[in-house]
Amino acid sequence: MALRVRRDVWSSDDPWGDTLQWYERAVAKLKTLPLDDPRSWRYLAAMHGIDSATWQIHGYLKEGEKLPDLMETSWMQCQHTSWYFLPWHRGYLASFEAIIRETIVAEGGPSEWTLPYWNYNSSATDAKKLPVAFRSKFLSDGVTPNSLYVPQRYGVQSDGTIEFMEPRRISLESAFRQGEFTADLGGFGGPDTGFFWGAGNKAVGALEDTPHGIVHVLIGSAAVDEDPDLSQMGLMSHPRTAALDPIFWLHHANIDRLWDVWLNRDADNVNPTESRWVDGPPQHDRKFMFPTPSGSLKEVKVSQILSAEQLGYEYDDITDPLPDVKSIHSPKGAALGVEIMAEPSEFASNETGRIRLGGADSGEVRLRVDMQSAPDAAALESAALTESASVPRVYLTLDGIRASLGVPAFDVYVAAPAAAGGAVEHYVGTVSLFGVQDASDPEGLHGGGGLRQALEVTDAYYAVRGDDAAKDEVTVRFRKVGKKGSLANVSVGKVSLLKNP
Amino acid sequence: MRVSRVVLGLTVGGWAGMLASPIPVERWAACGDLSLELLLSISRQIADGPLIATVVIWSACMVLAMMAPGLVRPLAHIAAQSLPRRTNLLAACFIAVYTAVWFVAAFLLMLVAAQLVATVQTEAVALFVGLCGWYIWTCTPWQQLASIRAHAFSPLRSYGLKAVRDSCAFGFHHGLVCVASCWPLMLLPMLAGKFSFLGMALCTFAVAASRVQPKRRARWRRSGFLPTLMAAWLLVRVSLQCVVRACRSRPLATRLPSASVVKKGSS
Repeated sequence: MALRVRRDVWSSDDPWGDTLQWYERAVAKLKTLPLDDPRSWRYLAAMHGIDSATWQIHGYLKEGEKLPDLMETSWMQCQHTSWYFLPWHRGYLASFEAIIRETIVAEGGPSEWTLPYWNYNSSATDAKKLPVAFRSKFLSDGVTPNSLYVPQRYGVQSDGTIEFMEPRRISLESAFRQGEFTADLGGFGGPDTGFFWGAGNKAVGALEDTPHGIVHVLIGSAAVDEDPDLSQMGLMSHPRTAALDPIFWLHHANIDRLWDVWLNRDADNVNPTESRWVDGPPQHDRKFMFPTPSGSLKEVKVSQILSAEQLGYEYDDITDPLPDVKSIHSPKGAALGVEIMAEPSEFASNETGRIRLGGADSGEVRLRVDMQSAPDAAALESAALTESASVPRVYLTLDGIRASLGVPAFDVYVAAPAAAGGAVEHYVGTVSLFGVQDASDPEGLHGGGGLRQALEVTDAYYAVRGDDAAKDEVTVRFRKVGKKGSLANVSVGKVSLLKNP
Repeated sequence: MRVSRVVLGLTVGGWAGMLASPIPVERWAACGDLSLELLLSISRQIADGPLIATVVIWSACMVLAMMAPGLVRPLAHIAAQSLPRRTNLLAACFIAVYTAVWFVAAFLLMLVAAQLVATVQTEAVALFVGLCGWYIWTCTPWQQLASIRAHAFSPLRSYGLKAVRDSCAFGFHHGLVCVASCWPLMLLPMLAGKFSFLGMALCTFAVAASRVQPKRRARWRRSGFLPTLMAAWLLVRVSLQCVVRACRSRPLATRLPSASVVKKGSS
C-alpha cells in the first residue's frame, strides 16, 4: 500500500487549502460527539490530559456532566519527561489522523487525507506565524464558527499574536546535538521511565523541551499578568488542556517529523533497542490505549508504532535543516558484559539551597566551581573544542524547578563572574515550564519534586572559563520570556554544572 | 550500574549478616513467640549488657537486607547530586540515618507485634490480623501518598557541612516515608513465627516490586496483585497451621516458651 504523505501546512499557497478545509469540517463534527465516544474531540483531548474545572469554564464540559471513569485507563495518558514521549505521541497522532480521515470520508472528502505539520523552523516567509486558518473566528461566510479557532491562545506579547519572533528559542540545534536517544540528562528523546503521565524530576529530553515545550507555552501563554489560575492559561500551555486546541495536532506532527529527521541525519542516531522500550510500556504498568475509527480501543506497544511506515504515512521532507551541527555520541564502556554510557558527574553548583530565579524579569545565581574536578583547563586551549570527543561535554542542570502559573519560559545565560569581565554572557537555551504545575504538586503523581532541565553549555562554559580559568565561579543568568508573570514565582532547588564523561 | 552493585552488595551483606548472627532469628524477628513483657525484658537486657552491639548490627543487617532494593534510586540521586570525591561519604550518611530511622521503627513494630500476639493469643490469628492490616493500609490514600513521596527527591547541596546535612536530612525523610508506606508489611515477618525468614524474603521482594508499581493518584482504592498474592499465600499457611493445630490438639500455653527459657538463650 502506498504511503500517505504528511505535508507542511505552509507549503500551500492557499491558506484555506483542501487539507485544512476538510480538517475544519472534521473537527467541527467530532466536537458534536458525546464525551464517552472515543472518537469525540473531547475524548481524544482527554487522552492527553483533562482538568474538569478548567474544561467546564471553557465550555468543554457542561455543568454537572458526568465524567466516565477513564482517568486511569484511556484518559490522562500523555507521556512527558519519558523515553515514551515520542512513540506515545506518534501512536496518538496516528489514531487521531485515522479518526479524522474516517470522518472526512464519511462527509464525502478524500480518502488520502493526512494531517499537515507546522514546520516553524522553516526559513519560509510566515513559517513562524500561526497558520491563517487557525486565526479567524468565523469561516469566510462571516457567520459559521471556525472550529480551528480557539480564543485561549494569548501569545507572549499578550495581544493574541502568535509568532515566534526569536528563532533561537525554538532552535533545533540543542536537540540535534544529542547523539543518544535516551540518557541521564535526557538525551534526544527523554529519560528511561515506565509509563509516565505528567512531568517529573528526571531531565526532560532535548526535543521535548525545545522546540516542543517552548512552542506549547509561547502559543498558550496566559490571559492575565499575575497569578493566573488554570482557566486563565492558554489551552496549549498546560498538558491537561493542550489537545483541545486544533493547532496542537499540527505542532505534534512536526515533532513526530523531527524524530525521523534526527534518525535520518546521522547513521549513529538510533532508537533504543532495550525490550523495556521496544515492548513497552512494561507489563505491570498502565497500557497505551488508542481509539480506532470504529470507536473501539486498542492496546498498543511501542514496537507497533515505531516507524511512520508501519502506520502508513511518511513526511514530504525529512532533510537535515542543520547539516553543520554534528550529533555528539557519548563514549561507551562495558560492565559485566553490558554496554553502558559514561555517567555525567557534577563539578559546580550553587551553595545555597532552593532559590527564587529572580525578581520580576531577571535574576542570577553564582555557581562555585570545584577546581579539582572541573574539566581540565588545558582543554580550553583547543580551538575546535566542541568537535573533539576528548573534551568533556558540559551540561547545566536545573533541578526541582517549581512554579505557580504565569511565566511560560525563561532564557538562560552563562557568564564569567563580574570581576572577570562578566558583562559578556552566552545564551545557552530557553527553558519551558510546560507541565511544571503538575510537577510542583506535592500530592501529584511525582510528589512535587518539580521539573529537571538539562542544557548543553559546552561552548559557553569553555568560553567563560577561558576568560579566567583560575576563578572558581561561574554566573548563570535568567530572563523571563514574554510579558506575563514574574520570575519570583519560579524556584529551583539546585543549579549545577556536570561534565560527561 | 555502580549504584545497583552497591545495593546488591547491601542486600546480600544484610542477609549474610543475619544468617551468620549468633542471635537466633526467631528471638528478634519471630515475635509470634513473644509477649510484651518478654520483649520489654529483652530490651532491658540488651540495653544493659554486651549484646547491644550485636543486636544493633543484626538489626541494621535486617533493615538493609529488606529495604536495600528500595535504595537504588535514592543512592543514584546522591551520586548525581554530589561531587564525585564526596559521593561515598554522603551515601554513607544517608544509609546511616535511613537505617537508624528503620531501627527505631522496627523496635516499635516489635512492640506492636508482641502486643498483637498477646491480645489475640494465637500466632496464626495475629498473622491474619497483620495481613488484613497491611492490605487495608495499601488501600488508603495515606499509604499511596507516602509511596509517591518516597519517589520524589529534593536537590542536595554539594559543598561542606551543608552537603552532609542535606544527605542526613534526605536519609531521615526517605526513612520516614518508607516507614509510613511499609510499616504493616514489616510487621508480617515478626508475626510469621518460624517462617520469619521466608516472610522477610517475601518482604524484600515486595519492597522491590513496590518500586515498579504504576504511579497513581492517591485515593481510596482496591490494592493490587501483590497484596492479593501475599494474602493467598498467608491464608494457605494460616489454614494449614489451624489444621495442624487441630490435629495435635495441644493447649496454646504449652507451646509458649517461658521467660526464663528466653532469658537463658539470650545471655
